[in-house]
Amino acid sequence: MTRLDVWARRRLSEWFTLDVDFAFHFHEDQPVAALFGPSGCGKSTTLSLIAGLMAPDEGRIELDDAPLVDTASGVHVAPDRRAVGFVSQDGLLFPHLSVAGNLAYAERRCRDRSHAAREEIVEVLALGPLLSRSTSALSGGERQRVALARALLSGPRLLLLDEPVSALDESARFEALSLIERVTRQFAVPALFVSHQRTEVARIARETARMSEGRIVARGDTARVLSDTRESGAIPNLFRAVYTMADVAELPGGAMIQLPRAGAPGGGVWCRLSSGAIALGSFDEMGAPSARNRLSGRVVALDESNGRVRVAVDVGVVLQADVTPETACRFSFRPGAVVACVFKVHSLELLP
Amino acid sequence: MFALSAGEWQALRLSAVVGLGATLVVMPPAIVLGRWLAVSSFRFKALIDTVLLLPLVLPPVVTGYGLLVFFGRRGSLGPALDAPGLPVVFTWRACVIASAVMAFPLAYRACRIAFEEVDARLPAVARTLGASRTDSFFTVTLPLARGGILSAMVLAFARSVGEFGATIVLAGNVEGETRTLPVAVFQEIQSRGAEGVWRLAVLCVILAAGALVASELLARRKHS
Repeated sequence: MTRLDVWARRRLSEWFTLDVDFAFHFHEDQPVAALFGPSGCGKSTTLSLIAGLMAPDEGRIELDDAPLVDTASGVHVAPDRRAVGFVSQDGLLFPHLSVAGNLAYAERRCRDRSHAAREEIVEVLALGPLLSRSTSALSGGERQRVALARALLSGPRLLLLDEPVSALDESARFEALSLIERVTRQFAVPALFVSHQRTEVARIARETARMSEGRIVARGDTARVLSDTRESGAIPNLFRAVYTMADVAELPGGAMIQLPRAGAPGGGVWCRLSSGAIALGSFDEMGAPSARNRLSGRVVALDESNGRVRVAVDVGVVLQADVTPETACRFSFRPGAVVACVFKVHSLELLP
Repeated sequence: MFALSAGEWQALRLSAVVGLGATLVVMPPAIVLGRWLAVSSFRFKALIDTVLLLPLVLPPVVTGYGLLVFFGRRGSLGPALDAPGLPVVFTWRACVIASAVMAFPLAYRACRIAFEEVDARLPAVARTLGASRTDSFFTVTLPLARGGILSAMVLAFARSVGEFGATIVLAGNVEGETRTLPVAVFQEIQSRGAEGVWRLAVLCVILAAGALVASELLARRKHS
């Protein structure tokens, strides 16, 4: 298990001071944690402070109890001595080197020879056919795979992933997230993932810290942190289900749902469901709706704002559902209440 | 018409030597200062930039006079160089110094622009991959700025070969010692040798055009 402790303050302008205080424990079975928040809230600056590319005015950052920076005692470990890998949105591959040259650059400078072999990393990330190519001849997804491989070859104790998939189209984005999940587990390298996309964070991170205007405003289990978000408009719910037979799948906790497409029994699938596509009510009053998915859940939180009530319902996974204030009043939704949670099969979107 | 006299060959050789010498003298400070001012941000940056570019806009004879005062027998550095037998004024060294001072702003400006065009995040990523500050400069920043730096070298050489105003003030017109191509052209004009002027003028045009073409090719290579 790896532990990251961050307390840092940095004045970036007359109007904006970053002031963050958080800690993450990275577990071997789920080694990705996330920083989530809108653009400009200070996520990337926080990564720069952890990587050592920027110094805090005041603060202490520790990785596994060893200080990377401590302004009180004057410690500032240089970026090349931190063993903290960095992958950015556009990959930042060296344009004067080929793909193989980029990988060799990191490998030659790696101080920890115990990391995974180059051949293994190249194979897992399917980079073999790309090695002789120029970096300018790569697609967005290929660039990110090379950047990830390069960072892994530097022998990092921690990977910092700064919106690494946001430049990709949607199907490539979720494939890239699956790949990140796979390599962090396989090579036992924890990663701090930064994004302003809640679906990406929900898909990949076990723990999340939510940032707003340079500060951490919530931290903990990803589902709980994301359910705190007071966003206007519908929001996507993202959850994983496991096929049991044909098009029927099981949610964590045992509830069964019908999916729009059949899959092999035992195979997992990520589903997206808009908060606006879920109807809530009582089992008695809802009768027999045409929607095929009808789950029993318990209300865990309510938030009334922007002319709607957002209800968090635990059906094995926590789903956010938007209802009108009149509906919330009529069914007397309150934390702990048991409700019927109904949605159509075709309102579910299966992700790659 | 294009058979060069011994004196003209001598002027051509001297110009080439002065051009190479001045380029060698100019490039290290141009690279160091260009990089420094490209990446740093401090209070007097604009002032330093202006001072470094000043010879580009000052009349060359004014720059030459300033150098004469500095390196002359009564100047700040003249006596110190005269003592070990390294006098500057009216020697080939004066040609190199005058050309270097006049070429420096061009070389410095081209280097600064070359470094400004390098994405600052690339050397930063190199640091996270285990490269020290020096390592990332030589393996990432410098190769990415290479086209601009080579272009700066060509411009510095061309400017040095064509330098006249500061050279005539500091180095004079001593045949075989300080008579570079432009000074030889001036000499021919003074002595009304029209044929010699044309020959030397054509040589100057060939050298200047060659340098400009080389600079353009290097700049294109940088962008390709």
